[in-house]
Amino acid sequence: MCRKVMPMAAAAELVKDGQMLALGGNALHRTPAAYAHALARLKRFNLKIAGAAPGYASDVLCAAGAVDTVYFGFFGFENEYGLAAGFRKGCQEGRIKAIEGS
Amino acid sequence: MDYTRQEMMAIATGREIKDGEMAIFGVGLSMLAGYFAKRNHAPNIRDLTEGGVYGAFPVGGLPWGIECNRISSNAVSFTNAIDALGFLVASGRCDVGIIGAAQVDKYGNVNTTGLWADPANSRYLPPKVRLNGSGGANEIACGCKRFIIMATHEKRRFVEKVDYISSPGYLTGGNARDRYNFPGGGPSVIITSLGILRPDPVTREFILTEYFPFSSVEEIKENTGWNLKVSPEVRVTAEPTPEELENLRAVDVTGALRKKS
Repeated sequence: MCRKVMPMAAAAELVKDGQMLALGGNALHRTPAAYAHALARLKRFNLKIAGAAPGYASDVLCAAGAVDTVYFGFFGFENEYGLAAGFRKGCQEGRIKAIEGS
Repeated sequence: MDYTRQEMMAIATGREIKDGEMAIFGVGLSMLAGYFAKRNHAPNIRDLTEGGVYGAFPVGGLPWGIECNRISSNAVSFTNAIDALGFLVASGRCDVGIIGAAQVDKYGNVNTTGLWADPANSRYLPPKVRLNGSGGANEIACGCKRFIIMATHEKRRFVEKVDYISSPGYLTGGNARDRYNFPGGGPSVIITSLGILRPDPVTREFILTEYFPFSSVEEIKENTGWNLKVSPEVRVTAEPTPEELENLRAVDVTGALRKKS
């Protein structure tokens, strides 16, 4: 049987430049934070992110400069935690293309 | 009586919800207003959030999000966004929705997408300020029989024309909305931090119908970015009753609405 369990760093290596990732969770809830940290260390480029309500994990990758496109409905942290700074800065500087759909 | 502006706003919003309705709430203030109504005068509402949390009541204060443990823990059903927005709202079954707004214009169009230096070219250039996007608000605006907009009353938020329409109100006014065959009827009211605006039945332009006890017609006109018309029957909103405040604070146990007035 195929064994899927592996160290976090090895799992992060599976993602290559330019690939699209679907990151789960909703804003600050259940986002794969540790995985995003591991992936951010690898300095990937031109990743595409898809999610209904990307939050912390996706924002880490945006802040690391790894993302060039995001497909989403809502991108933020909700309530008093407010807007996602990495994504926001990326959009405003024109580095990230935001495809907002809902 | 001792209450904050935000508490008045939440109570005024809650009063718009009638018992037995199917109602969908957005994050933050709108959720507090909705669950306040459920506890205060509408125990039989069929409430849901965009994340599919159906028939809940918050435990421990303001929920952090649409799927937060504070509401999902005692929900009748915890399904998903496709059921909530895709089936219940988009099919036109939902009576009322509550959404927030970063920018709102005189026809009740809502912008939560971004602010641009040159709004005419908003689709092609990076925004000056990128906001968090519409989330489920666009579905609520298109699908609910009516929806309520909540926004802080400031000149920069209440503008003649929004930079971008994230969630449609009456578009360019009159019967402009009819062309698009949305299942929903459009915004019924804008509850602001100073008063209440309702649409003119013909032009669909929002006009001032009520002001809160701590505000005035002049203050509201000064804080609106278009030449706000005032209803001839404009009146002061009834103050929150002690029961209403008690019920609101039972929902908002952490005092999110009492921090600043």
